[in-house]
Amino acid sequence: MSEHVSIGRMNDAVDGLLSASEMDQIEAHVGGCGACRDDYARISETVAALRALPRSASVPEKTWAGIAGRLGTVSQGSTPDEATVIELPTAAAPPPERRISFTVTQLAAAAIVLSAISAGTMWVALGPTERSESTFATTQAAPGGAAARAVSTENTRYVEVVDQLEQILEEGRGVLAPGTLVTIEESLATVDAAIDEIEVALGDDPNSDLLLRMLANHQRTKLGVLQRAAAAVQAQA
Amino acid sequence: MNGIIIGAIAALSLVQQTDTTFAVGTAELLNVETMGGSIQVGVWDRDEIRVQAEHSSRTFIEIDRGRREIQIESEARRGPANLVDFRITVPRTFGLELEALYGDISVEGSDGTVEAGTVQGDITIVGGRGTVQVSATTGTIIVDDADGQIEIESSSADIRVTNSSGEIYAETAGGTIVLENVSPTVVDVGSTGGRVHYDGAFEPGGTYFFGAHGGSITIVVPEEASASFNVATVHGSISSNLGGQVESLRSGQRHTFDVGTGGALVEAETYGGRIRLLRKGSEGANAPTLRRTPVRDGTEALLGLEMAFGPMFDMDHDFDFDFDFDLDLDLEHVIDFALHGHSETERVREPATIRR
Repeated sequence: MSEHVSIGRMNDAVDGLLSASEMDQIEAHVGGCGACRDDYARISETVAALRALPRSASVPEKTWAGIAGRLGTVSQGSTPDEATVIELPTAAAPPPERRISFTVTQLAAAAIVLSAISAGTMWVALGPTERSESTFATTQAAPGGAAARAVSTENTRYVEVVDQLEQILEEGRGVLAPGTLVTIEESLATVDAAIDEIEVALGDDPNSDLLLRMLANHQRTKLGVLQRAAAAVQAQA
Repeated sequence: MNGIIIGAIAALSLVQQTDTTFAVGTAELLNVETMGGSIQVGVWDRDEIRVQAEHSSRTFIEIDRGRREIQIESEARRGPANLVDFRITVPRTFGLELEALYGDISVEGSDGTVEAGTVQGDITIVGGRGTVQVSATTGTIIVDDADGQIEIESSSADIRVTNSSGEIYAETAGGTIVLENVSPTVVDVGSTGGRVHYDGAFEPGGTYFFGAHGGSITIVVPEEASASFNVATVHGSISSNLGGQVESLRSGQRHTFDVGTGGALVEAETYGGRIRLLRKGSEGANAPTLRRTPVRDGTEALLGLEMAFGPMFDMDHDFDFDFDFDLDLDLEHVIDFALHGHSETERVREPATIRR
């Protein structure tokens, strides 16, 4: 194979969709072509990093007060102890694994997102299919456990990612068209209102898988809005 | 005096035409990026790409022809490019990556992969095979006759998918989602602030998830459908006429039931919105009308560019600045117009180079 390997073929290769002989051809070319080797490495690394993100979400820190209050086992503001992972009911036949593929342009954006998400809080880059596969963590006991710290860390990271993206948006308000900015703010207000409603409802019913799933979906939507806004800011910066 | 200068500037800023056609060689992907203006892509059965563009004289079109990818960008010798309206014709199976920060994007008849993104503008994709990825902050997104993994993300745009198959994923914070006359095997769509409407097939073994918060979900179920339904709302309402009579189901709990022998799995969830399961042809089974928010006059696009880069047509400069600036930029274009009747400023680099 003397011609360069297309980005589409590289994505196929990373996804394991090619035959052994096709893979041999690609590996032979990539081995001798620096440009393709760089692209292939970037795609492989980014996809691997995205797949390594935990497919989980958890209740935001501020929701803990309400949940703990209802449980009557943890005083408000304290750190929860042992976490119990509750598997959500899943579809009888799980949807096929969603493919993650990139163009060269997207790789740069993915790197930014990965950087923002760091070790990963949400499955923001994995897409909606993972909703039905998500797990949600909650707790029932006193402060101090490792599991609780993990949950708390995860919450903290989610908040950190949101904060980072909001900071980018705030600093970039001046470069966005007024109509676009209004749209973004309205979208965020819509999602925040939905999240607030669900958090209140979770205070009354902290173990509701329906509410937890809705919360996770809205958190994901919010991250999507913020990501697109941050990308728009960066494109014009 | 001032009026004369402005008149001169206007004359020199006449819309330019770029029109060039070239062979695609071994490339299989087209990437187009523009800050403002529209991108229209059509197809033909030739191994060539034709690029037609309208732009101001200070803007030129740069075409990088790589072995794998052809990249087209609008550039300006000084500062950002102005609005550019592209009309591009590509081989039918060519892959497309289209990005317009402020502007509409349309694709007609593609049999290749399509990726299209805009911050503000309408996106219309007719065709697309394999992967169709569409993203917009605001505007209306329409996908028709696509097949494959269809992924649509938006902040507030309304989304409409018709006559398509494969897997459909769609998410919007504030818009409405309509899927009509589709036959997908996987659907996963959700709107936080808008409505969701589905009128399509339920394939055996397929999975279909519909989510909304305060808006309604309407699922139109064909007579021949065979599916297991799993629906729930926290504070909304659920109604169904699948059994022949309109019946209401309790909120606050999950309801599961089969239609036919099962086969497909259909899930619908709302927080406060209404879930309606309707037989095709029932009252209320018609899809809602989507709003359109075109930016075709370019006003908002220009405003967006100005917000980002400062005034694009600033008349407040003194005489010397205006004169030097425009004369320097436009002289060769004026000559081009005089000699050729159109601008020759597209930059087609030979030999082909690969941009990374």
